[in-house]
Amino acid sequence: MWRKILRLFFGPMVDEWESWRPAKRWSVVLRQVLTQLFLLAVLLAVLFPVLWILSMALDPRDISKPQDLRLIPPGASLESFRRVLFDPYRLLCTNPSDDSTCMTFIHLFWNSLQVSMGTALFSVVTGASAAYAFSRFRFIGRQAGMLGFIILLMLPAVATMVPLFTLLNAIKIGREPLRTTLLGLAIAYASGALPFAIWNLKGYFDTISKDLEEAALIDGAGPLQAFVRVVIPLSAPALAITMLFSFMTGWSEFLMAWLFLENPQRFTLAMALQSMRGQFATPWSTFSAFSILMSIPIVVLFYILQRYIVSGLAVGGVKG
Amino acid sequence: MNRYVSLAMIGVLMLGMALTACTPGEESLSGTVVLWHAWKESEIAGLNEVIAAFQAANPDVTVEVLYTPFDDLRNKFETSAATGSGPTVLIGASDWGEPMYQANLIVGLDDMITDELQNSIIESAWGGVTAGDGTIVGLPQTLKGVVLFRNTQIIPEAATTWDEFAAAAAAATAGDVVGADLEYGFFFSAAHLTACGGELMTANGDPAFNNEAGVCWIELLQSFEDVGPAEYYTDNDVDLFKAGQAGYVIDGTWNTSGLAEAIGAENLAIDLWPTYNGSHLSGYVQTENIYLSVNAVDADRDASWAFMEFFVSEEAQAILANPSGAAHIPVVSSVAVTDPLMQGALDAFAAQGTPFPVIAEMGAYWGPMDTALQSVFYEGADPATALETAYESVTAGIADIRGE
Repeated sequence: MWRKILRLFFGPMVDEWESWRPAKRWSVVLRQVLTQLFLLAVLLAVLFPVLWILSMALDPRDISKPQDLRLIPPGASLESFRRVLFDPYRLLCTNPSDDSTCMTFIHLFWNSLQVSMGTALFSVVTGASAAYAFSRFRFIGRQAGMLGFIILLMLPAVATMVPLFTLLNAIKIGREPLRTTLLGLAIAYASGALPFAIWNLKGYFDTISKDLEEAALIDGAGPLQAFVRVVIPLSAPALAITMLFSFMTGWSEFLMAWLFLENPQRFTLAMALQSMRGQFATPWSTFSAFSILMSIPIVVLFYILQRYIVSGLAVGGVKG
Repeated sequence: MNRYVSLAMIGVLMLGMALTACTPGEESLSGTVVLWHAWKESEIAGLNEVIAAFQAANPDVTVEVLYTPFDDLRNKFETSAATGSGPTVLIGASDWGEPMYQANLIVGLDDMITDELQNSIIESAWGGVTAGDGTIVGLPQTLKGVVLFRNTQIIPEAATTWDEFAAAAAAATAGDVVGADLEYGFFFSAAHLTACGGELMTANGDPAFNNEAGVCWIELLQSFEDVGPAEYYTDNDVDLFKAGQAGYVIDGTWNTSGLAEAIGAENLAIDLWPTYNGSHLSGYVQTENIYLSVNAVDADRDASWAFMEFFVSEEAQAILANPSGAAHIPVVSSVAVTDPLMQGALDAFAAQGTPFPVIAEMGAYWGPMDTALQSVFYEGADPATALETAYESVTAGIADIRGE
């Protein structure tokens, strides 16, 4: 019985236990205890904010922080979740005196999904094409181009906001500047996500043997077919991580969105969450409930892509 | 014959209608007002009511409204206005006015303000819209500021002196309840310099705190810790007050409705500041302003200016002063205030308020003063030395701002 329990913590070394000298036994026990304590502390540090947000979401008092460490606060209810999901957002209306013109969670969700998917697709498609060119072809400016992407990666996102604003403001769709549309926003996000996408995918493409493409070419495939039918399927882990990061950019960004968009009908979830942060007061319960609901799609996407993500993260940086 | 009479009457009627339409001064407004603001949800109904009243009087004017969070509003406006777009009218903080005017993003209003308009607004409110060169860059539309809130269930009577205040707070402290949880962050405490006969800066923005009055001020702030917990830009005091566990807190009038809702309006009071060494503590008084964008042109500009004038009219100010609506403290003296909390704030502003400096030099004070106060409160630095260090940093910052 005890051996089984100990094996849970110490693994197969329990079987060797009896052959060890007492000093070694204590050393192993101490090391394991310290490791477990450290991991427990890390676990607490990771989970504590999540539990705190959950507690605030259940707390009907709208206070900025719980007065004690009870996960279930007094009078706990799901009212804030109901408010978030079903009430109109009266700050985000085309006509503030008419509730039917106000945004709802579903509408915000749909806008966010469009922007995030647009950003992810644009980044993956453009990034993969560019990364393949940088990986396989030798051309003038190749090194300078890769260096340029590094510089773009180093720039804080805020630095590109005004140039993007000016650029997208100059392009009109009908009488409307591209800047004020969801398409414009997705393009702006993708421009920020592309440097990472290209670096990550190029690193991964470098690890795929050229022999595979040459075999496809000998079998009669064109260069595009070799890329689409051979390289892309083999690059699923890198594509997954690129897609996830780009999606997350589009999903959670609000600074650029608040700068660019002017029609409440196009506002996103992240913008709505930011709009709850008042100058002087914030409805913390609603804010927390909204945060939890907003994070669900990212969690789902992460779950779907998780088997690719670890290998995608590790392999992308192997070669430069 | 009858037919001629009828035709003549129709002719006279049409002529009359045409003449009426052409009467000078009766020209109806048209155009679009685009308003950007950062008001809370609880204020939106009041804003809608004002817009509806304006449109009832000006049916040909379209009003478009866009909410933007306060933290993003200024940047959004400045970026948009600089590229020739954005709203025609902006509601924003008083300290945005001068820099936006200097950047040629908003219009100076000197030529547009009539004597009647000038006289209708409380004189002290004009300070919040007057740039360093004396130009009026916006219209003040509400007063707000830092005041002393009291839970009358915990402390039934207002204190008039600091000693009475400290005694009442000590007497009320028991169990989970504290008599006072006072905020001493720089924004909330700078106006208390008046309690020591001092001031933060001179009229032109030069530092004036590095003296005995400044040391007295910091010692006064240190004594906040003797009457209960003290906060440096945290919400602990407000949370405690909302939970009915604090007798006094120092906070902005913008939180009045939240506090009233939490403990009941009948249990909430806004007191005059207690006296101290023959003077009194104080709080900053600010205005929130309405600005006219340089991109408002032609009919839109006329409509936008008319909207701004309407916003500070007695009718609109009365709507916005509704305590169950926007609950804005009016800037128009003829608006009757019936709400005791609003009246308490107005009394504190009028008798003891300190105007918040809206000049550019104020930007040089925030960092050094916060550092000075925190070094005294948390690191035990000597107040005089901390003020001397802050003085040097502020002076250097002001030189940068002035391009010296």
